[in-house]
Amino acid sequence: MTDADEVSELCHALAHPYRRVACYYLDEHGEASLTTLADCVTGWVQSDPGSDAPADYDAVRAQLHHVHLPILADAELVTYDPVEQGVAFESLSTAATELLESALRADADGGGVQTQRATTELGGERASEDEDAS
Amino acid sequence: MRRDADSLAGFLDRLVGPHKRVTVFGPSPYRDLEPLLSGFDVELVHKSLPVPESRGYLTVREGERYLGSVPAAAFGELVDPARAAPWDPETRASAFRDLTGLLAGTEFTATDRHHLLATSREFEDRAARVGTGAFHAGFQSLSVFRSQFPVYERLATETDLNVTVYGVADWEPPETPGLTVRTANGGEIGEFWVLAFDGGDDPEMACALLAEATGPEETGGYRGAWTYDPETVRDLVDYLDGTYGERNP
Repeated sequence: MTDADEVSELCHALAHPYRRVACYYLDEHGEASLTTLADCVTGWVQSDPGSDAPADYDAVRAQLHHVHLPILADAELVTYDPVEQGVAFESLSTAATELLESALRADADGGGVQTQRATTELGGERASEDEDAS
Repeated sequence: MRRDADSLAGFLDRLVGPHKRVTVFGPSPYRDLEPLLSGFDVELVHKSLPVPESRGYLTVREGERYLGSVPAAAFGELVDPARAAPWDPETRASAFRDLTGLLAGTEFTATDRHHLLATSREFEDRAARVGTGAFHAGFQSLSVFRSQFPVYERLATETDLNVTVYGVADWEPPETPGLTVRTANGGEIGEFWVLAFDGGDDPEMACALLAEATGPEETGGYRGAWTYDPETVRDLVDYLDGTYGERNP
């Protein structure tokens, strides 16, 4: 597979926000249950100031199980055991790491103005620093 | 041990459900949440997520059931809930209300009346928004009710709510249209904080809170729970009317 092929496949794997959020969590923890990933993704989407799509937990969980985790597994970013419903993160290539980091910066900043205001309200210098640093 | 079902203590036992799990997703555990949630029968877990603090969130589940989420941008409001009047728009759209909904049926202990008052605002607000129906409130003694009187005077006179207040008779509220006072010589009325709204024209808005004093009124704490189950609320309202309704018709 050429570098260009790999980037294409990674872009496809990370094209959906549910798959990206699952990867952000797995990059931090290495492994997770389907239940934990569904909590993480549902909460993320529900709390995203830039999102106007309501997230229903059962729908998110079913989509992760039937669609998104198999796609991430095909791209060899994760291994997924659909019976035990356990997910493990694979070691990432340099290209995958860089792409995931860029995506996280964009997604975490997705709220635009609203995110900025929320940061100020929290009064958290830490939060501002995190944003500057990311 | 379950107590006599036909008592406020029995209703409190009925309100309390299984414990819940609160998972905080974000770069830090948001330590300010701990003292707030430590009063509830919840397991608090932090799952690290590499996002800015303002983009974290918490999720609540009860066993296999996912109940909902609250964004971190609103955590500050949870820690210092709005003390505004129930008709204030800030009280109306709040993360505190979201969390109040998610924690229904969760037993809580409170060391003072501060958070009990903030939670009470949410229930008073629901009643004010519907504007019809029966709203019952007991603050142990009428002298405690005194500080809440301006709120209840407005609920009674500016809405079509029938407001009934309970308490040990150590203060006499001014005669107010729409406001009925039922006094007791102590007993469970002197020991429980009670709020119950039957939902009026919108039964889905029914809600009730019960909290039992666990020490002397001035210094002691409370244990309690709240519910949005219309049937439980209706039974509680019937109990209050049936038990205390005859004394001050």
